[in-house]
Amino acid sequence: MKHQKTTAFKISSMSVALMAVYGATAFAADDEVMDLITPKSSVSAGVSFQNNDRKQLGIFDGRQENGGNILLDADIKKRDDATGIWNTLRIKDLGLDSREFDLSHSRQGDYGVSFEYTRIPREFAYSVNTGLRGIGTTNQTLTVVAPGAGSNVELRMQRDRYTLKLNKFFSGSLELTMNYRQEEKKGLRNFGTYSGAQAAFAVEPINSTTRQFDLNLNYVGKDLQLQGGYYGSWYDNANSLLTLNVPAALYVALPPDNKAYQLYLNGAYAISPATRATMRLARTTATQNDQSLLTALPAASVWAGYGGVTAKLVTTEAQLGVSSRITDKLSLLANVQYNDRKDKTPHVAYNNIPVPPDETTPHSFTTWNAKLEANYRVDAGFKLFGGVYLDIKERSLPFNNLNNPPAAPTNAGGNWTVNTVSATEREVPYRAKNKELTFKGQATKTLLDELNGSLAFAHSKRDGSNFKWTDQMNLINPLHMANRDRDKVGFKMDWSPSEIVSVQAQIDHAKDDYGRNGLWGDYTAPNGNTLWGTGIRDGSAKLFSLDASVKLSDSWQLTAWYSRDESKATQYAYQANNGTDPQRRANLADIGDSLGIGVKGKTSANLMIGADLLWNKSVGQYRQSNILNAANIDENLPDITNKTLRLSLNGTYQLDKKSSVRVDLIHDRWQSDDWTWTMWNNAQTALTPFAYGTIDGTRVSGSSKQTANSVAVRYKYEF
Amino acid sequence: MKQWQKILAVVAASAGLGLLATATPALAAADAPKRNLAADPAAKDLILKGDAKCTGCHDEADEPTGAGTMLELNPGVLAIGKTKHGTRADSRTPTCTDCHGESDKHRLHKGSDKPPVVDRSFRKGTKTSAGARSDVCTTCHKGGSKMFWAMSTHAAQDVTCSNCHQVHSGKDKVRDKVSQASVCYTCHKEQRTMMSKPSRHPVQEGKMSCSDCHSPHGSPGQKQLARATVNETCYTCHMEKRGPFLNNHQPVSEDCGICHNPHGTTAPNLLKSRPPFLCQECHEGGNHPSSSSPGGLPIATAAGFAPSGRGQIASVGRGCVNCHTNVHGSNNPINNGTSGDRFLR
Repeated sequence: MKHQKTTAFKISSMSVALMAVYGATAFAADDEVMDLITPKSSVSAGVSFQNNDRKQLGIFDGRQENGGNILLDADIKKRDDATGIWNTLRIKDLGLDSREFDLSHSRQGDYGVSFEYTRIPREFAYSVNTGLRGIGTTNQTLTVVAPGAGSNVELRMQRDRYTLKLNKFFSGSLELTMNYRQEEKKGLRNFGTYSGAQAAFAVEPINSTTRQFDLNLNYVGKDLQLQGGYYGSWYDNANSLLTLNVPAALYVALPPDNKAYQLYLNGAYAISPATRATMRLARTTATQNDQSLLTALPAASVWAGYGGVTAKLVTTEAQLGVSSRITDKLSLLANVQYNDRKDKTPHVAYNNIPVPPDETTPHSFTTWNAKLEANYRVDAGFKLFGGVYLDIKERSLPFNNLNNPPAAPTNAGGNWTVNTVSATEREVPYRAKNKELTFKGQATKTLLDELNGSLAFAHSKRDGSNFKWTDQMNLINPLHMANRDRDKVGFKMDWSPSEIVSVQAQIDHAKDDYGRNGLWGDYTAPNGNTLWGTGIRDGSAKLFSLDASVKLSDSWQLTAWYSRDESKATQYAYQANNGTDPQRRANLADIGDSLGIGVKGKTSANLMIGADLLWNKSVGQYRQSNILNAANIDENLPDITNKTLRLSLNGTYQLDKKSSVRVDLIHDRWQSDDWTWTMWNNAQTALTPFAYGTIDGTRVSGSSKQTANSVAVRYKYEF
Repeated sequence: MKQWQKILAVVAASAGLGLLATATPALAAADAPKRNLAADPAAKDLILKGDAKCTGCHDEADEPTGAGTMLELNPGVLAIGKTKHGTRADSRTPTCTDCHGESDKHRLHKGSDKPPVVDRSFRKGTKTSAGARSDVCTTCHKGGSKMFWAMSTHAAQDVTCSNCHQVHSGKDKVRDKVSQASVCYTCHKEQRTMMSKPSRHPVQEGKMSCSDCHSPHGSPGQKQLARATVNETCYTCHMEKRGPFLNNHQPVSEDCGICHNPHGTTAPNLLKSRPPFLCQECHEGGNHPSSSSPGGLPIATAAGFAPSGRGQIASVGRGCVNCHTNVHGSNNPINNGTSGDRFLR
């Protein structure tokens, strides 16, 4: 092979020399060089056949159903070398429901225009049998059927997305860009509501349009760069209200239209060759108006005192950062981000039942994120990294409801105080401010020429202002507001003992401690019971990953990886009406194992083959124990195990220099004992498909095992 | 060989039989004559202005660059001609030495032994510092979406442009929606495992890519996100959740990531935990925890969970959302006490 290359080298030199003498004709004759420096295009066409449904695995790829498909793809890139004009066309999966294509025309460094279309299907992996009538409309009626005696309904959605991009350079340093994206989302989604007695099945009719428009001007100077622009986004829903007749009419609000406008300015400046500063200023106004919902609702169902409201959010963003290579060895970075989201929705009551009435619940947030990082290169193979991070979040308190102040706890301790100004936020304690301080450190060392390793740690501590007690029975510190100590350690290793072998290993371990989340034994309820604090107590996450790549020969390569991840949480829950058994501890865990093996290579000059194996197993554990009643300690929910396996084999035979045939054989397997859509029969002797209660009898079912084989053959022509 | 025979050969190879036919090109290469490394003084530019000093040696007979394998990049250097960096009509296009330096020691090396490396090398194990490698690219790519590169986590961790981008390739994997994630997974192993969980975004199918949500070149907002916050990023596709509503659900307004993990979960709908456990991280009121009320704790028995009835409705089906269907917020002003405030309608 090398001998052939050496010969080619000489031919190339000769051809260039000939081109100099005889012009382009001689140059064009050097097909090998032209082939290497000219953008390649290809078109391919073929067919595929699949022998079974892939209800779960095919939810996004347009290949959920068994049967045949036409495969049409293209990747065409044409460049005019004299002018720098590019014309491209890319088509992917044209014969499938997940089809997409884009085309573009540009003159490099001058202007460009492109258009893209893509469809993202989203299938519901379960089958629905229901007596519901009016599916697809906004007026639906539940008809009672025996489970399984209704009509089968296939639920699916799709997004059709259209993107138009334009850009124009006005000089070497000034560019105007425009992006417009419109997405039509249509379909049917599994839905439902509370009927007043039990959950009721419904189908949400999806028919909405999302539009985004971004127009910005970019200036790129030697030291100064600026980008300023306008970003607008609009959401329009054709359906504002779903009426579900059970048979009495229930009115379910659907997502309202909304829109937002943003003006922004980004900047960067090179203070010196080694120091760079960046900044951003942005202001966004988002509004939403509920008039279409009010129009759709029967007038009699709306309180006469409520005439609608325009909700309004105003967000201000700012960022300022400096990074500098102080010396060849030391670099520093400081950065501050500010985000202030003011909910300026008027505070009004929107009904008069119940008493006190429901009121609008605007939430405002102010966040500060600051970091200081340092990198110090001890020597060529040893680097130290350190960072300090401060995150502050401030929340507005819920509005006053002086008509219904909460009862004072009798012996609250810790950092709890009674929120005497709020009761509209039912049930959940509240914290106006959180502060989290994090320290990170990392050492990266080249141990040998072929061995690099790094060891990292991080410790963070989150606390905040006093909790506002809003309900005398709720002692939870919400997950995102609770005090938390978090420790992380990480180890990475990269070993390349030779040109042909490389190995990567990674081990991460993180541990969260929420301390005494809640008030165990600190509070006595009005009935005299001592209550336990509930919510999350601690959590952990582990990751082990090993990757290896082996270049078996110039023509063969093997890659393999394995990962195991574990995340666990311990949380407590309270059960008021369960006598001596009010407290349960849940030990939750998600454990995943993933394996990937790939091999590819050439068996001859014309034949390239590959094989890939992807296996994944995830186990969800929902162990519960009653911490007060030792006799009933084991109250576990069943684990949920999901397994997927994909084995794919492919072979590409080069028919000639420009054309090839590729064959793909794929074996897909999916298995799950997920009980989400199952329930026990009344005798507790067998699992049955989930069925809604007595008012409709809708049944949702799925298979626990799916296996599908597919074969695809396609012809590809390159030019 | 006739056409049908060729096709049959492909099928046979796909089934694994082709493994038996492994060629041994490495052995063949060992027998090949050594190549004269001195540049051809008569060489002319092949692609870029002044590239002859490099392409005189790095021509179609060149070895792969080391960034990929023989299967993908052979010969690697000339492939830059297929890219935008190889578009000579664009006056901004650099030439070899703009990126790699004049590299006189490398260029003027005589003999058949291995020459000194170029002034700025981008190969694995290079002695050129990460900062110097990125500086090469940011000399030109310093505006627009690259403006915040110096502030990025990638830059702080010595990830350079060439760690992700294949500059000498007609097909840069990280700029292809289908193959991009595999590049990101080189470092982001946790995300690789999560993306294979039962509930996930359509990244495997190539309908989304990491850069739909993240700005790998740095951003002025959190977590190198495409927009300033988690919520604003999510709203680009899930704008129906934006509101603002008459009745907002506090964590929804604060951060979608409180309940969802966008990289993948075992629980449906990218939820970090299954209802009711997820909901019970905040909600523990005086009514719902009752075993006899809807939405109570998942009732455990020796056999598993309870028979049909109201007690288990928060554990199966859509969980708590069976009833609290508008959990992302509601605009419902119905005057009956069960409207939007509890997200039932």
